[in-house]
Amino acid sequence: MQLDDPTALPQAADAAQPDALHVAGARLGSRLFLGTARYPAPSILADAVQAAQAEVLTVSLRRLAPETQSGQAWWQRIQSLGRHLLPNTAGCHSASEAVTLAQMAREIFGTHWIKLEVIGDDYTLQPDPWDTVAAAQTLVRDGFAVFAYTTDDLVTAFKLRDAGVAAIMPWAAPIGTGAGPRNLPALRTLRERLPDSVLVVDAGLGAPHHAAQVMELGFDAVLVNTAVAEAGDPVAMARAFALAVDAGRIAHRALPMRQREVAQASTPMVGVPFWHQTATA
Amino acid sequence: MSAAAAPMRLLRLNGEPVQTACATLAELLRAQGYDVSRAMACAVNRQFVPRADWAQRALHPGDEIEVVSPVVGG
Repeated sequence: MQLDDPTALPQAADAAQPDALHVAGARLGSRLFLGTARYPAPSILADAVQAAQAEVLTVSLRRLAPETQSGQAWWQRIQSLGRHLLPNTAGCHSASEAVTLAQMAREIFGTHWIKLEVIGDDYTLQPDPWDTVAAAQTLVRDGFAVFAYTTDDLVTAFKLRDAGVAAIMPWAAPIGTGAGPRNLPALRTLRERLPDSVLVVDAGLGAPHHAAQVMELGFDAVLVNTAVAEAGDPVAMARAFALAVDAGRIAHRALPMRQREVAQASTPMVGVPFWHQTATA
Repeated sequence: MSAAAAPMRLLRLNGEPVQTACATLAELLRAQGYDVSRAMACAVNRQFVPRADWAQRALHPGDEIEVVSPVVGG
C-alpha cells in the first residue's frame, strides 16, 4: 500500500477503530458494560457513564419497604441516561428464584434483557452451573435475552450456548476481587471453542490492563463495576477502562504476533557493522 | 362485609409476618402504605404476579409476598 494513496487511508483509519458489537438485537458502539453500584454519589455514576461512553448499565432489584421514599431520584437519573439496562438476578441461589426475579425485572425495567446470576457459594460468589443452565433454558423459552454469568468452565459454556443465551459471561476472578484474569488459558480456550458466541468477561477485573488483556484474546466486551466505582477518581477510571477496551479490541483485530521462547533481533542482521571483527579491547 | 368482620390472615411480607384482613394483593399494598405508582414488582409464593393482576390476586393464610424495586447493581 502506498501511503500517499488517498483511497487507502480511510480504510486504514477504519481498521484502527473498534467495531460495533451486535448482541440481543442491539448494535453497541461501546464494548464496556458498566455496573451502577458502589459509586460515591449518583452524580459521579452519571459522569462515569458519560466518561466510559457505556451503552449498557447493570441494575438490580431489592426488597422495598412501604416507608421507603428514597431510590426514586436515582432510578429517574438512570432512566434519563437513555442506556440499555441489564437487570441482574444477583443474590439468587436457585433457578426458580432467578426466573421469578427475571420476570419481575422485565416488568419494572421494561426490557427482556437479563443478567442471569445464580450463586452456588456465598464465600466465593461462584455461580452454580447446574441452576444457571436450568434457569437459562427456562428464560430463553420465555423470550428473555439471557446474559449468563458463569465461571470459565468450557462445558458449562457449551450448555449455555446450547440453551440459546444471548451472551456467555465468564468470570476473570471472583466478584469484587479486582484480581484480574486468574486463568488466561481457560479464557483463551473459551474464545477458541466458542468462536460464534458473544463472550463478555464479567467480574474480577481490577485495572484497565486486565480489560485490555481479555479484549486482546478476542472477548467481545467486558463488564466492570467495582474497579471503576471504588477508584479514587471513578470518572477518570471509567475513561481509562474505555480506552483499554478499545485498545484491546483494536489489537485483537490487528492480529497480535505469536510469542516466542527465545530472542529474535528486531533490527535487521544483514550489514551489521563490525561483523566478524575481533574484539581488541 | 365490614373490614372488622373480615377474616384475618397471617402472611409474610418481605420476610416479616403481617396480620391482615386484606383479601387481595392490591388491597394489602395499599393498606401497608405502598405508593403503588412507583417502580415496583411483586411475587406471591415465589411466583411473579404482574401488576395488572394485583387487584385480582387473592391472598391466603401463609402466603409469602415479595415486593421489590430498582436498586444499583453490578
